[in-house]
Amino acid sequence: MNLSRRASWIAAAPLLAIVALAVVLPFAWRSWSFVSDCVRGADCALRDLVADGYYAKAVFNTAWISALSTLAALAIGGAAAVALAEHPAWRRASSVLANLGANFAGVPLALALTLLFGVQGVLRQALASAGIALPFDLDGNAGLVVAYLCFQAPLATLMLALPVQMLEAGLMDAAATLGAGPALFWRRVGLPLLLPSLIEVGSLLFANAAAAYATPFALSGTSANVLAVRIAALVSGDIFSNPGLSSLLALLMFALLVIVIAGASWVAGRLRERDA
Amino acid sequence: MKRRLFSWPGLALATMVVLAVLPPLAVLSYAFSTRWDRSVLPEGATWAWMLETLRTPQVQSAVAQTLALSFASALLTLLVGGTATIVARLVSPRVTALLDTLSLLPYAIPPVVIAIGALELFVGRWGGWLDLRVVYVGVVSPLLFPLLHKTLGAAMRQLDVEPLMEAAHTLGATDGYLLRRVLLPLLAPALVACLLLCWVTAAMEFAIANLLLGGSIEMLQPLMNGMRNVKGHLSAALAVLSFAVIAAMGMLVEGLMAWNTRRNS
Repeated sequence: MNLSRRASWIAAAPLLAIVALAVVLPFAWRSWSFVSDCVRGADCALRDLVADGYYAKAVFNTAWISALSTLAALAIGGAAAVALAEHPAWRRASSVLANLGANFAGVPLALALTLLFGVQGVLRQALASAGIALPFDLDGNAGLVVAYLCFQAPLATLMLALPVQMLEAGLMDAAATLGAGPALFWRRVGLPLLLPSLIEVGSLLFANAAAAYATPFALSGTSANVLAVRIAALVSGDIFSNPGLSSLLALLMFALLVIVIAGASWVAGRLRERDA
Repeated sequence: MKRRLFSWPGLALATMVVLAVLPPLAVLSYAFSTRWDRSVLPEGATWAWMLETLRTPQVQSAVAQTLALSFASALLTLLVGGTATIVARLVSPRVTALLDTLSLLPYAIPPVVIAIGALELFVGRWGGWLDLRVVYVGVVSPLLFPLLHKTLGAAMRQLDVEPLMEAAHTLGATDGYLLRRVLLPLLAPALVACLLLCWVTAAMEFAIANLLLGGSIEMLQPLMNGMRNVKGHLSAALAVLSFAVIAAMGMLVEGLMAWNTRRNS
């Protein structure tokens, strides 16, 4: 037997079938029922979205919380990756810890943060007795940014370690020989060369934060006003069941994520072409 | 070179380590102390919570259910996704590109959306003749595919398959023979590593376990969440135990991949 191009389609068929059945079909079916409701002029969820600022707020919250945690994670992770490129001896231990942090999300993270920074949290109490008030509440949006940062920063470090390492090798020495200090090197050479990787990693971090459900749900239940929690609460929810609105929010999230991921990959591609 | 005492990258690395380590440390301290509410440090070291967690029947059944269902999902991903990735990488750049795009899909349609869609369609509409476990495995499996595609892809790139295929053709061996006698044995450690990675990832999944199975089959993560407010220490002990298992699996995966690299180079 020799493998042909056709064989690769046959080999991929079961996977494609499962993805089509389990992921695409339910999503398309829900989106279709939302669209057909609106076209027939029945209960169109768009009206609910416009009438109630609460759900528009959830879209807005998701966007800014994800963006802020992504930018902060890129800054911390990028700089940490530079430190690791300069000190190879720290690499192994750091990557083990970063791996732990990147996976420590959801329920365990909520438990940990409640212990440390909750209303009765030991660190919050200790700081309060020293006269310092923490600038965030765990069940507020600022608390979500802190929580997301706990897994986003280690994840950014893991994803940026290799690109930074490849950049550092040799280039920085060459710059130093020519008399450029680290600041000048990063401004004129390092960051421009690293930009495509930063954009791509940033888009995945953004998607990671926007899709996060376990962490906000475990921290503040259905009162967390972000898209992922609203989408679920509108269907499996207690009193306010509105599947149409849930479908609309899922479509909005899909559009937001596709624009961010596809846009980032397009921009990164153009930048790489220009550099090459 | 002059050594600086302070550097921005050093500070960033320290920040990252604190963010990564502080939450696990807090859960660890809580799981091994009799109480932790009077001062910054926990009091009274104890194994009691660990033992009590292991002896709780509710925990035992949730662990068994979770291990079984997440293993089934991981195995399905390995069989279906592994076949697709290996054959595509061997012969078709176009299918490989399609699979690359496909592995971005779970980023655009996140687990919550998948769970709600499955809840409405497969449970609400077709629930009468579809087993909930089958639905769960079918829905989780595509979520694991990106992980498998990336890990297996890296292992195959390292193997440098093209010259192997050319050599096999020159010697008159068929692709089937090459696959069976050369490639699959060479890739075996990577395949086992993929299976373990997918298994662990599926076992720690929350959204689908909670939304799709909540109320009928109790899974590990939702149970941990439910116990948090009532028996916080037990919930912490359960988290510590899960991460201990994950760490052990992680070491096994790393060992397998390193062995794969050494053996094939």
